[in-house]
Amino acid sequence: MKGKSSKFDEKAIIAQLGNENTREAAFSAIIRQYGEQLYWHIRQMVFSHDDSNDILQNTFLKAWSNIDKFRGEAQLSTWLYRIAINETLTFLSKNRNTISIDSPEGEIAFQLESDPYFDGDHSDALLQEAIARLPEKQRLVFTMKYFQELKYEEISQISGTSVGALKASYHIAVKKIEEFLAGKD
Amino acid sequence: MKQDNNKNRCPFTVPEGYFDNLEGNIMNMLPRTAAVPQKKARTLTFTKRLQHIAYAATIAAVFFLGSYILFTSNSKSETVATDDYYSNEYIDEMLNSYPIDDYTFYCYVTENY
Repeated sequence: MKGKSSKFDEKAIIAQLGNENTREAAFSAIIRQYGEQLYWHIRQMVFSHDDSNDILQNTFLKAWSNIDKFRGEAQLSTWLYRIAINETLTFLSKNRNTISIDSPEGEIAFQLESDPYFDGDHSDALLQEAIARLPEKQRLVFTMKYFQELKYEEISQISGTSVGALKASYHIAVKKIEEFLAGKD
Repeated sequence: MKQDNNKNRCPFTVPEGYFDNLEGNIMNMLPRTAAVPQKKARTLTFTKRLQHIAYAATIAAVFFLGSYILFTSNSKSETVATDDYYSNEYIDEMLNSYPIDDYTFYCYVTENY
């Protein structure tokens, strides 16, 4: 998965993580490289900036505490994505009442339009509502594919799901979104 | 500040300067573990080594001497126990050869023990 800068030398950074004297500088470089990318991934799942910020911070805190367990078998970005996804899904399961499938139709779009950090029009808000009404795993696949433009192979590495299952999930998600939006015309 | 790195438009924004401060904010939150002081490797002088060998030899000598004394005293006590031992056949024979009845034998035993 691509990060922010092409100068980021993952092998060198991993080697620096193993040395106590260079560990902090290496971790700082990781935040610089993947922080924004992970933020947008989280934000597209939970919508609220404050919640996304909390989840992102928890993601990096977990990564820092478990840095000794990172063996370099997977890419750094894959490892960080996995932590971010776990944190996001944990948050969503604990906060089902915030934005969920059970909310009355139109309420999610209304909430988003009144959010100071939402810059879309009504159709953007409706698209986000349609995404929010998807089951968590379909939502995850859809946002990673549609907004993050990750390849199925990359999503497969992160989620541990087969490419075939991911394609099927994405297809079902698109159908559901189309049906939801068609009902709003 | 808008997300600008995706083709499919994401309608979310973040507070101004959020990503500029992200790295610093997260780094400030990380728990720092105190550096564990490395133990200095001990180097022994020749006289210290001799002292250690002498201590070890003394301990070994005391151990062997103690074991020897304990072993020999146990052997002696085993011998005494063997001397005091009489078989059941011998006791029966003795009782039969002496003209004493059970009651007298009982009195003898209770008086002496």
